[in-house]
Amino acid sequence: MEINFQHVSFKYDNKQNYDTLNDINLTISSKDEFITIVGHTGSGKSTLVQLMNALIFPSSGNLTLFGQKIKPKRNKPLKKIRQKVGLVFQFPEYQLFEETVLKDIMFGPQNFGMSIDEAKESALNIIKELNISEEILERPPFNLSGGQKRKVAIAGILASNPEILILDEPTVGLDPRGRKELLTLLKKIHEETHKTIIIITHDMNVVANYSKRTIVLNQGNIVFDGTPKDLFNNKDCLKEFNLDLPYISKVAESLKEKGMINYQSIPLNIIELYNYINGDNHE
Amino acid sequence: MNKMAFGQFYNSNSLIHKIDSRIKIIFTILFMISIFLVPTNNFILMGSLFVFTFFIVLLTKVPLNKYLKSLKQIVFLLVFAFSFQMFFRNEGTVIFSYNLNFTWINITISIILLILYILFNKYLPLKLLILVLLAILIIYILGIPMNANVINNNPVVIRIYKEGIISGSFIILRVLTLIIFTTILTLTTKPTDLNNGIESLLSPLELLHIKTSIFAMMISIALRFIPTLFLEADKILKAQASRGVDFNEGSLREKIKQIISLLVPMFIVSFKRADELAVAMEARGYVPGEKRTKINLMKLKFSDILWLILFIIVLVGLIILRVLI
Repeated sequence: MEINFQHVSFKYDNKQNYDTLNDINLTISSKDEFITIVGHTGSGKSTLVQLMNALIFPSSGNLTLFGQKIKPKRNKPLKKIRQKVGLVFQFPEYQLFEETVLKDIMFGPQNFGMSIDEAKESALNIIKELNISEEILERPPFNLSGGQKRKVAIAGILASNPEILILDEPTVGLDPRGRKELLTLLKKIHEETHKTIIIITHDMNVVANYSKRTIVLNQGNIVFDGTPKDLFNNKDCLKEFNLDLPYISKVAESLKEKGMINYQSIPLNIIELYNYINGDNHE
Repeated sequence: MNKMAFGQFYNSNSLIHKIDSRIKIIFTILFMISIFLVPTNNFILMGSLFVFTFFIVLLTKVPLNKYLKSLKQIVFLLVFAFSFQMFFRNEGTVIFSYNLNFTWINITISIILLILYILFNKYLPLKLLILVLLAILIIYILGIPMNANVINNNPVVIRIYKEGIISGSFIILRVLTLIIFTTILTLTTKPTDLNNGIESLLSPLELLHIKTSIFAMMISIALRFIPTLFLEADKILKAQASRGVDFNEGSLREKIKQIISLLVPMFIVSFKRADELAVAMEARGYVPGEKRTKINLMKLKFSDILWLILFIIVLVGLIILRVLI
């Protein structure tokens, strides 16, 4: 397992009781996982993913990333880990700084030791993949639209070819079309390369439609770790941690209340719901 | 990062907290003048001002370690001032003298010690203390007579004079009193009150058509955004670190690029924030320089006047003493 948390706790120095983590046990493989992390503001989601990127170090417990132990203080060089775990921050467009879009995408790969030519090749591949139009490549990144900026920023992370891709609320501030495009793209990357993708989100539709595994954080504790299906069927859990249902499931729930359909396991997408409706019709 | 927040205001709602901020600013200035009016090396007067300051510190009901924290930042300055006085005074009575021998052996040992210090600097606790001890150790080593080639033929003698130590201690006492007293002001006054106080004190300048309210607004906005910008910088720093920026390694050229990768986004974020803030202020009817009403009207209380009179007495007393002596 490439990411391994054993009894990891994290506390900020200034004693605030916010965004801390207690006794986290978690393993994540770098292949074939599509994970969503949900939880309230301040539940420690961002802290968790920053630990995975070795940007902050655990206060106690064992954290192993790609075989390297991350200690509370002095550490061996962390570049290798940061190359393997690509972390896209919230509003990643703020990290753009280069003169041209292409140069900015090449910045990460060059930092991780690629030559200019390799970095350029990698950047151009990603650009094609992400459908970024070639004509903006030589323009400064600051004049692009919000959605384009975000795409460029994500391309900058993907270009360094990470084995695990983490995105901290990637769809915030995007219009519905941009949101859909981005998520479809992530799914495509996941299906083609089998890279593990971790998304922090508040959108239960994303949880239901894209992820294979969901982690629920509450006040710094992992309170649920399993498939979205199990999560949405666990009514107590949803209620206790104030989680919503995906739209389709809400529809199914009200149909059930009215006695129009019946199901054991709550449907999470249109096809499942359709099957239930059809199934009822056949009886 | 929150540690960087400006203003260490500590609310204990004491007698000192309740004093009008204008009066506090004025008497802080008066007291600073008083401190500098104390004749040099007059320990009795300086000591009584120090005790007076300490008495007010007790009145503020702020934990003493808050004061110690602000003193921690100037320890270096104090040590420096003291050693400067101690080593470079060269008149009066010698109480201690010491010959330095610059031979190969002494110098090599000293240099090795220095290099060791620089190498392990990062891992040491109490850096300053160790630095002072190291300086003393090096001076001691240089003093050991060795049978080796002497580089410098005229021996250097360190002489410490009584007067040097006295004036060094006096300076320390003076600076300590000064810093503690200004800390009282910042610990017991909210930044906003401080700002309102300054604005109110500068308001006579309006007669000269200088818009003091604009400056006050500028200062308060700047103060307000310092912690926000630190948070922002932390975020960008982390974002670039996850893109492989490592501020600890790389050639000079790479380092410059890494710093640019932090600076450019910082500028963009700050300009964007400034823009948004300006629009938000305008939307709420702010017109620069126009008269604004205040939520908290500042009114002088009788006790405020008493405080002011107390400090005026201290100042006048010192002036009279100065004239008489």
